[in-house]
Amino acid sequence: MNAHEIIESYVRDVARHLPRSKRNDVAFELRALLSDELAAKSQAAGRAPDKGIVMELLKGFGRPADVAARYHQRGALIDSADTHHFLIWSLSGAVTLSLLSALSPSAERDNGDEFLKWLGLLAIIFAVRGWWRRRSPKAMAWKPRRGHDWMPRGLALLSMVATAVFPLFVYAAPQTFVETMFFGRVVSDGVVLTDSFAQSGERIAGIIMLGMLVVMYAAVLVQGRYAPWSNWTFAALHGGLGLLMGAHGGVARAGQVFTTAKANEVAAPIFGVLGTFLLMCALYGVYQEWARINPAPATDSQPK
Amino acid sequence: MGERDNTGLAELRRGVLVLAVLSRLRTPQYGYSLRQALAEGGMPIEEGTLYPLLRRLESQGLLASEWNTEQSPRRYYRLNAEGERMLAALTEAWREQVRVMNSFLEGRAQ
Repeated sequence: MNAHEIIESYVRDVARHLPRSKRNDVAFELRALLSDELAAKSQAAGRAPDKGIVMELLKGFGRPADVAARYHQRGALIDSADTHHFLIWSLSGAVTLSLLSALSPSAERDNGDEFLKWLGLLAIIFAVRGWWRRRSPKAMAWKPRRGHDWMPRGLALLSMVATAVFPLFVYAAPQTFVETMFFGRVVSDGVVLTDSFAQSGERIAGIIMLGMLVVMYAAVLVQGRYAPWSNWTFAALHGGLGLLMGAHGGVARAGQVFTTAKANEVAAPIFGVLGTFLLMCALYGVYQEWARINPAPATDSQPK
Repeated sequence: MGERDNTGLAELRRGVLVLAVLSRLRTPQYGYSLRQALAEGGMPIEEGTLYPLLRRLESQGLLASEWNTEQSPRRYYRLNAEGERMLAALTEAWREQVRVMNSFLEGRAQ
């Protein structure tokens, strides 16, 4: 390729990154400007334009895609400022799927496929958010918010009552729960626990931990916020219950939680999903504590 | 001059690039001639930075342009009315910045 062919190739590569309406005009001007620059460089070098001179010129000009971005800046699909959160959410999806596979195994689930779908969904959400932020900066403007330690009392009350009903009541006395909920009009024999499960240490531990969760929400209700010690306690309880629910899923698959096979079949995946959810709550709690911001000057060994 | 000094100088020039370009476009110039004029005036600017900037300033409504294809095809840029107004505003702001910076550098400011 001679010098002019190289310039033509470069101009084409710049122009194809531009909107269609700008391509031809920018290409025409860029080709003229590069020809001027090439003539000046050749004159300075005291020789006819050759490949070496033109390549040096184009190297100084920059990568075609970068040059095109200077002519016409396009919004990023995922803003660089959002990269950290995108990675966190991607990793959370991978961890959730791994936990789900471990606690609720299913031959029909393809984790690779599910993870790709999750990444695709995240990319769409982040792209739409970024687009909307650029289009309506006021609508997406930063707003002050309380820290993670804060919990409105109404939500604390709701969490306490909800935890007491489901899962504590259901878990401790499934038959009574069904009879109460349906005013005795539904036969509750299907949810009778096996003696071995009803009297197992795991189930007793589960009832105690769920009871402790209710008490913890009651403490939050009184204080109006999470205490520093309660974050770790919540994480420990969620983690313990998550593992326990996962283990119950295995027991249900072996047909040993309820006396009827149908109830075990229905309950096994529910235990798995619940266990995954609780373990994710535990990991989120640990992450919140690990990432807790305590403003302080950096020490010499820390990056500034 | 070290690499760090060059980076600082490039940052400094980037801040006044638009003002420098607008000031040279009271008379029509095409890209290469403008780059030469700026370099001869003491402000060398990379071609990959200057040429796209002209397009951006035009799309912002500060410049007018027209092709001259009588000899080598060249696109000439010049200030339009809005560009003149912007140049006046930036000139005033620049002089104020120079005054402030001088007072900083000479240790007069508190």
